[in-house]
Amino acid sequence: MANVSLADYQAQFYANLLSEEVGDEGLSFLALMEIQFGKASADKESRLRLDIYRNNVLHSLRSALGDLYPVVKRLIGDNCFNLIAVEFIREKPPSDPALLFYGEEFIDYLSQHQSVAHLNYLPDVARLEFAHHIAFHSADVMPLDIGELAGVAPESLGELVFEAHPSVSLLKSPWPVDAIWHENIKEQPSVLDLGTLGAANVLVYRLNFDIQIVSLDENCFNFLSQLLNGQTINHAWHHAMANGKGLENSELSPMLGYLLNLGVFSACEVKL
Amino acid sequence: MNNKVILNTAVATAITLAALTAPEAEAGNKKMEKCYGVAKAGQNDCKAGPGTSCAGSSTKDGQGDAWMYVPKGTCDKLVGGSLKPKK
Repeated sequence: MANVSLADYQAQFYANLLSEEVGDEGLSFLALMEIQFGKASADKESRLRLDIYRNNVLHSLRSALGDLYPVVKRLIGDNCFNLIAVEFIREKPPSDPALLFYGEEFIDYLSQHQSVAHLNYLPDVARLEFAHHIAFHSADVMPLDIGELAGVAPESLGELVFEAHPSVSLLKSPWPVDAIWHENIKEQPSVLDLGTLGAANVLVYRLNFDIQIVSLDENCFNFLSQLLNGQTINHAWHHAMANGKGLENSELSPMLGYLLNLGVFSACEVKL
Repeated sequence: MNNKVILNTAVATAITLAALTAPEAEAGNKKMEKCYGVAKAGQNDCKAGPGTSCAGSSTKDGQGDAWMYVPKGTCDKLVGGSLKPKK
């Protein structure tokens, strides 16, 4: 009897798990199984079982991508989505044992795919959906208690730095991806005029159990990105002022007050 | 007043604004409960009956033996929600 290691079995099994047809590796895997277990009917039955297994693997990965990108799926239709998804799965199978972390590369794949190249906004919609997915599954951390800030010495307030809640992502797009997303999670989406809606500056995070998708104005978005990068309030504000359009010092209080209330920060400290 | 003082004052105002308008401080006392029958397919937190093992393995929306964590008290208010596994 042939002496075959487990690793050999696995390598041959894996080689044809996602391929379009069962190739030589799959056939020699089946032959090995037959030698090992010596069943007369093994040939036909194992082939059938292998096909079922192959189908389950592909189907579950395709469903996972469909669940991760429901709006993209809706925009391009089930058939188109499934075809692209299967191509993607065959080219870039999961490398992590947790399905949860699979599918980020689908965004780039989508952006390079000929059949949807005319939908310029599609990759950014996918980015928004991935941010939503990550926010949903990120660690549970309590948002910063605003009461904590009362203890900070007044002269140090400008030197405060914040820690971002683990669920937070920011997304900037020349397309109105926020409007596209909101419209397409409705049962009956209406037609959007991409020309008049303009660019999107979106904040995605989770508050308790709800994913928040917040559209910010550009100045507020820039200020928040600096804060989330660990810059002091002082630095972040000066950066926002220098790069902003029509931003005035009087807007700092309402803007920061608004951001503090969102629950996007989990901790703060005075940077010495 | 120099710039730094103006900025510090503005931040102090922001904190006061935030504290005044903060939603009811209920976070922190949040208790979780396992709620069966409400998880979307593939989004159960863990254990979805025979033949499955863990998170993301439920196959239908609202599968009766799949649960997810929800804030305490909300399970009964969800359509199909139950604090015990359903058949």
